This record gives sequence, C-alpha cells and structure tokens, in this order.
Amino acid sequence: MNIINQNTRLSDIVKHAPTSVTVLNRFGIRLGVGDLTVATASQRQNIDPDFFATILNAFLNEDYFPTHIQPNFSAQTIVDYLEKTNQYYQHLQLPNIERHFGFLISKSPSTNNNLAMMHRFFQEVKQQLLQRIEDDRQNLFPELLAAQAQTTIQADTRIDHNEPDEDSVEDKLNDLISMFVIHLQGDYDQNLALAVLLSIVSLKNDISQNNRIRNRILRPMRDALNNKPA
Amino acid sequence: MNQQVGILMNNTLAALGLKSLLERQLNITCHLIGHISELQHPAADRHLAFLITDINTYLAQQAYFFPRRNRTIVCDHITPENTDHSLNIVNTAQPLTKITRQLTLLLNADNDGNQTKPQLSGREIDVLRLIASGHINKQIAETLNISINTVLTHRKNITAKLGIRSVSGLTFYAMMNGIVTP
Repeated sequence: MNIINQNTRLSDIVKHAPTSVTVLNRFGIRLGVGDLTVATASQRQNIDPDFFATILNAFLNEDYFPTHIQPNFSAQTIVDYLEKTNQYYQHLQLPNIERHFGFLISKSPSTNNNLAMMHRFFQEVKQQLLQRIEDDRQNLFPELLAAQAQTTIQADTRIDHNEPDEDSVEDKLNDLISMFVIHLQGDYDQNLALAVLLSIVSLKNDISQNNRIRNRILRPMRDALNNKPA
Repeated sequence: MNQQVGILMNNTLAALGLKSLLERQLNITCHLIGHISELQHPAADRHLAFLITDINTYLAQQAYFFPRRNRTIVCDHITPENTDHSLNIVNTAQPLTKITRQLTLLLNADNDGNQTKPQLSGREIDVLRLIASGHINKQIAETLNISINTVLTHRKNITAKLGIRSVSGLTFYAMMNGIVTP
C-alpha cells in the first residue's frame, strides 16, 4: 500500500489491509468508518494526525522507517495503544491458541507425542510473552511516561534504525509455525491442527507488526526523551 | 501398499500374527527376521521399506534402529508417554481395529511425507545434539574439534533445513526426534 498520509481514507486502508482494523479498534475507532480520513478520525479521537499516520504506516508497511520524531508524538498515546495490544494478546489470542491446542491434543491419539512437545514449546513462548507484557507494565511504560512528563522531544529529532525488529518471541512463534507446517507427524485431527496453526500465525503477524511500532517509534521516543544519541 | 516390511521380534507368535495381519489386511509382503545380523546386510536396507520390532529388541539394538527410526515401528504392550518421542509406537493392548488403523497410517506415512522430510547430515545431528544440550558455539567447536566458523555454517544449514532458528525451538525439535532425551 502507498504511504498513508492525513488525507488517506480509513475505508481504503481497511479494504486494502483488513488487519488494520485491530489498530483502529485500539484507538477507539470501530467499523463503519464512513468517509473518515486519518485527519478527521484523529481530530475526533483527539490524537495527533501525524502520529496516527506514522503508527499506521509502521504497522502496515514492513519497509517504512520513520526518519524523525516530533514533540507532538505522545508517549501516553503509544503506551495506551500498546497496553491495549498487550491485553489483546493476554486475554484473547493466547487463551484462544491454548483452547485450540487443548482440543487438538484431546482429539488426537495418545500415540502422537509430537503434539504434546509442541504444546510445551508453546507454553514456553507464552510465558515469555507474558513476561514481556509484565515488563512493559512495570518498567518500560512508566519510564516513558515519566520521561515525557519531565522533558520534551526536540523538533525533528532524527531516528537511526540500528536494532532489528524481531525478538525472541517472534522467532519462537516462527519456529512453532515451522513445526506445524514442516515437521508435524502421526495421526491428528486436521481441522483442529489448522485452527491452532492459523491462531498462531495470527498472533505472530500481530506481534511482528507491533514490534515495528515498538522498535521504530517507541524506542526512539524513549531514547530521545532520555537524551540518548540516536 | 505393496511394500516390503521386516519383522524382528522376540515373540515368534506375535511376529507371525503381525505378519498375517499385514499381509491379509494391508497387502504388505512381510519377512520374518531371525536375528539382527540379517538386517545389517546393505541389501536389506534398500529392500525393506519398514522395520517392525518390539521395545526390548529396539532398546537392545538401538545403534541399528536409531538412525532408521523414521522407518521403524515398535509394536508392543506399551504406551508412548514414557518412551522416546521420536518412536513410531503401536500399543498392542488396543482393539485390533485401532492397531490396524495406526499401522496403516504409519506405513503410509513413508509415501506421504517421510521421504521429503528434511534430512540432517550426521555432523549436523551432532551439532544439534550439542545445541540442545545447552552448549555454546565455542564449546561445540571444541567438542567436535572443528572451527567456530564451521559450527556457524552447520547451524545455518540446520536452520535452513528445519525452518527452526531459536535454541528452544531446536531443542524441542531434537527431543521430538529422539536426538536428545526430554
């Protein structure tokens, strides 16, 4: 999709990339967007339109690297957004995968030990993701909010993107997907295996997209507020 | 199916019963093997699509069976919970219909997937075993007496073949395939 700007209509964004609905929802915008553009939706939701467009671009476009951050980029807005994202993982996506995995194991013959091992691997990834969420709540988000309360980001602060977007949660979810796609053996319920696979892929895609927001917007904001060199 | 299977079991009656079941119901040609030495002839490896044995024979002859675990089926009065996760196990205490169904699935798996399953070289399995045991690159290089660059090349190849990158993922893969014990 072309780079999103203030005049881009939300309906065009959603039609082109339906997963963007999750972003809109986390900003309090529901389906039935009518003629809203990024600018008019931002005004209605009291968000900075440049910031909203930057977040949408980072979420949807793998090749989008914002070059600057501005004083009007709100730490509170991005923290609220990522907290809603974390809640979505914690209360919806992880329990959903867990439920599907439970059905898959219970409906498969006990001879298939691969599934039990893959479930153990999923448990490890789940714990790591929950730990990251806890760390966000206890450390990262409060630090960012406290920093913005004390100081202001300088206009046109340049961002250099040196750190990779992937993290070990994303890597491990990719590995779990490979285990289903490449290595799954034995007797199992195909529909339930597909349900588990699709729910893991959905979580992994959401994490990948939001890691771009964390790494390309949130981290540079934190560094700028802490006066770290870019 | 029309494939050839070797049966090596301590219990002659069980072996004969299994032979009869496979030949009559699944149309598979079975060869009763009297001793492991008969399997060690290279022709036997090429000739037999699958090997069926009992758990005691498997454990006693693990050096032979482990590298061939993808085409070995252990038929015995056991449940898989406490056994090697990579083993193809058929619990003979189940009803006959279930036994037949499992055998059909396992014997068909060769045609469906196992031949295209990513195969690691012996050295790659050595490296994977050490990764799964918690060794870092330097320790792997020292243990196998190879350079760190060679270790990195093996790791890259393992990831490319398996589609698995994280140490945790590789460890679970190694457990699932009997390369390390859980």
